[in-house]
Amino acid sequence: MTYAIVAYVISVLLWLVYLVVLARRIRRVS
Amino acid sequence: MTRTVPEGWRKAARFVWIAALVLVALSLVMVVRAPTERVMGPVQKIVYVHVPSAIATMIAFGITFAAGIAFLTTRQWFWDALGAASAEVGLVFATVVMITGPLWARSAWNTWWTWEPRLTTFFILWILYAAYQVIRSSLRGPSKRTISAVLGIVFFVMYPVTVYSVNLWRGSMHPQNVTMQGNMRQVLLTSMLAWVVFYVAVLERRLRLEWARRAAEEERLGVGAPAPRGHVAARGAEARGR
Repeated sequence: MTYAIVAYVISVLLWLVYLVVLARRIRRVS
Repeated sequence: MTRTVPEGWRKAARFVWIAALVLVALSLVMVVRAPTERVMGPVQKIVYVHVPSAIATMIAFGITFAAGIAFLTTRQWFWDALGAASAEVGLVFATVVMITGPLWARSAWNTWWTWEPRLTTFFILWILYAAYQVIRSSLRGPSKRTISAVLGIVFFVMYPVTVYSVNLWRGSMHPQNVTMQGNMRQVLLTSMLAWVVFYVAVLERRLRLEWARRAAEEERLGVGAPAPRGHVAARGAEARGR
């Protein structure tokens, strides 16, 4: 169970970090 | 292709984002409520994010491949932007696959990693597209787009090798295909749909960056129509250090 929770938490966190960084990149350029 | 994001595009993007978030949330709820597999237990639920992410990776790299061909044929800016955006989003999906796979393997194979055909070829694929990002970001001038398109086409050679690696080499431990029935099948199909729609939504957001870069570049060079008022104001705020 722990591995499954870790897998989903890391996946969601990775996407959140990517989207935040992407939003900052867009804001910096425009 | 227009210099700013068309209004129709914005409306469609809003719809895709809502659909993506609703579907991903729905798939996560379905994963929690999905029946527990008898042999592996709850760890089997990793498959519901691992397999859809692998499929989204292949779609993303496939679009980079097709966009590369389209760019070399037409030399239109949009195809270069689409290829670069899709390669970056695909790399994030591939990273999810690379993280969730070993977590599943630790329970299934009693090891985090083994150099069996599917894992090795996917790892090579991940390195190639990471190299694509590094090479593209290091390039300047008109050759940037052409080299990126060629790389997007050449690196895609690893696609069939990765897909058929379980058949091409003996001793593969990786499942050849995932077969499920009933509720588990529904959860897998919903998750696949959710993450593919999510890919489309993130791709659109990443394309906005390419659009903004193009507008900024043209403004810097003094090419084309003047930028919209909001655009100028934003750049002014940035210059003031906000």
